[in-house]
Amino acid sequence: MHTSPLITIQAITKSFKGVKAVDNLTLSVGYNEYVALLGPNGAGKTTLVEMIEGLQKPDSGSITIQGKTWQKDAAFLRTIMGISLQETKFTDKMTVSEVLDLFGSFYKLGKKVTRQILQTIRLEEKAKAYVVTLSGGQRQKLALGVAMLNNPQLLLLDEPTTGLDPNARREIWDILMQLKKERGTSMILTTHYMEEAAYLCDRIVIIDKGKILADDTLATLLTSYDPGEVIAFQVSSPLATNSLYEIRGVKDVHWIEEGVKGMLTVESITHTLPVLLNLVESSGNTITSFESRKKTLDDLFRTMTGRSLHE
Amino acid sequence: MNNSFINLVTLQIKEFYREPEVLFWSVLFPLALSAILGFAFSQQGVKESSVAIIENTFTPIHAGIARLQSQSFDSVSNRQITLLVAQPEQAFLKLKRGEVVMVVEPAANNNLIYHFDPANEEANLQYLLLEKKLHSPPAGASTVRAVSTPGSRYIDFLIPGMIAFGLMNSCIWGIGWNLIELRIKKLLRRMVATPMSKSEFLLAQFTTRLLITFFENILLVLLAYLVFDLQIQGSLLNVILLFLAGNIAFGGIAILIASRPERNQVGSGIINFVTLAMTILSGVFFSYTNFPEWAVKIIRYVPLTLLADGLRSVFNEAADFPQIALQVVLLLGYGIISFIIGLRVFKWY
Ligand SMILES: Nc1ncnc2c1ncn2[C@@H]1O[C@H](COP(=O)(O)OP(=O)(O)OP(=O)(O)O)[C@@H](O)[C@H]1O
Ligand SMILES: [Mg+2]
Repeated sequence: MHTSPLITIQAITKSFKGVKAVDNLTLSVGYNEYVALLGPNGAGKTTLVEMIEGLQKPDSGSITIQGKTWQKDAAFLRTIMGISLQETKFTDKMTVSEVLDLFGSFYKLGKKVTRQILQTIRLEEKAKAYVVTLSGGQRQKLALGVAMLNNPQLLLLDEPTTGLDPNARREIWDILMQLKKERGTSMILTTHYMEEAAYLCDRIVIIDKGKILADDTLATLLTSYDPGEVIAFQVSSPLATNSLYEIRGVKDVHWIEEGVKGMLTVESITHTLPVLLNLVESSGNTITSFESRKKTLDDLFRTMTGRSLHE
Repeated sequence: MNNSFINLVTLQIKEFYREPEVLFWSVLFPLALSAILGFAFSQQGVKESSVAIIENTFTPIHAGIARLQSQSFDSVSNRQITLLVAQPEQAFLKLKRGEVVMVVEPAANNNLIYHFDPANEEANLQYLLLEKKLHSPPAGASTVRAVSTPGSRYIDFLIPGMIAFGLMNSCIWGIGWNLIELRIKKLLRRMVATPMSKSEFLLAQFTTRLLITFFENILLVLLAYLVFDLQIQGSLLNVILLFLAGNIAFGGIAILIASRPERNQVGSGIINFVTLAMTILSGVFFSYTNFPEWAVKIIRYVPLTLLADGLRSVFNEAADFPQIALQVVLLLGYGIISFIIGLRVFKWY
């Protein structure tokens, strides 16, 4: 068994013209662990991932992977990672199998391996199609195929499913889960989709403005950081914020439209809901729309920063 | 077998013929341009009104020539005839290069021998004018020796220049633009994130270009041979040597140009500037001797000029290796130095 983590990141910082994209960040990833980086646009996810990939240099701090660093062991590190960048465009007039063969040959792999990958990513019938003719989802699959070629110890995927329909996303998830089970791969994945992070990853790291806000399993995040459930509602005439806080079990009131459209964070829906309905109706007001659900990561992010993940 | 070097080269060549526009601009366009220019100017020598007079034992005692030298301004046609006195070898070399339209050789008893290409109008005109001036008594007999001068026609001047021009464009656009595009598409950084060897990658770029330019120029020379009866007077080996040196020079320059740009406009701007400047200066289409003398001294050492001049001297003057050695060495120097600097500052990601 491995005694130390696969990746150890120590206090790394990276600035662009005075803006700190990654700010004194410390993180470690274990063997066979899948970690999701979740955060709004500009949070520093890509910058962090690219520093791990050796494509950007931290201004300060250190990154070790299997005890090796980019300064000393770049050639070795390149052989153990499989990466997919946020915005790579493969050459238009190359076919799918040519792309796989080309990248395979960089790893000195034969065509047998590249053909196998073609099967894994289920693009066999597109083998002879030009990249330019592929759909968005097929291109993402191809990028994933290229990332998987060398049977990497560590996968670094930057938004691998952005813009895909649920089916295509599901297919990619299946491939990734299979890798985790059969090959013992580790992965860092950046995403804007909570379901994706929840489905694939052992740990979820929420980052904003280059800093880690939370780092835990999904269950722990949702229960220990700010437990509770959510009631979202809309009423016909304004309610006073005070009157809502007076209800037992209400922990937070968040107005989307002052007085009429809001979200309550409550300890338990079943306890709070009857009281809320009663309060509204006794004052002659009516509820025009209503929804109650468990807390999501987005709610969590909102309580931490006052903003939504998707802003 | 799945070899990365072979993949890099064959994929680029495939990309080349999978894009019909690319094929048109890099192969057919130079061919068409050469043909058009060749036809347009095929009856005309390079415009020069200079005449070379061979310096031999009869030159100082030839009455007509002595008279002409004292008053070379021709009032009838308002034409300045520049007389250049030269050793025979020099004189004929100038004729081949198109620097003079005719060689006049004084002979015993005030006789004269005119050497020129009867197909050249300018030479014919000069012959008539000169004959009128020189043929007053005491005059001997005049003989005309037709010099058929493949090597002094415009097409002979043009084709080696076109080869050099095509080589420059093909290398700088082909390699330079390709690298910039790979960088813009973030494909370059994706590639260097694998264990791909950077030197092998650049070598593949160079090899691809070598194959493509070879193919392009075989076509060009073949066309010139079939349509214009172009002859290569010198050794083919020297042509190949210059061709290789040219590829190395422009390949290196392309890598230097492509080492930094991260945006389309910047990249194409720099490439356009470099290729256009060289094209204008280097006398691919017309002789650069019309520039002021101080400029000519510099222009001679512009890479495109070096290659065009070198090729012309082999094609038209049967130059041997020692005569092109300087050009070859300078071209290699340009290529290697640009390559080294380019590699130093190259932005892979
Ligand atoms: N090359 C660069 N030059 C200048 N600023 C940069 C550069 N790369 C990133 N930044 C800045 O650093 C911050 C973090 O960017 P980064 O790309 O890491 O965000 P991200 O979390 O990946 O966002 P997204 O979800 O939109 O992909 C942003 O403010 C961005 O503008
Ligand atoms: Mg990003």
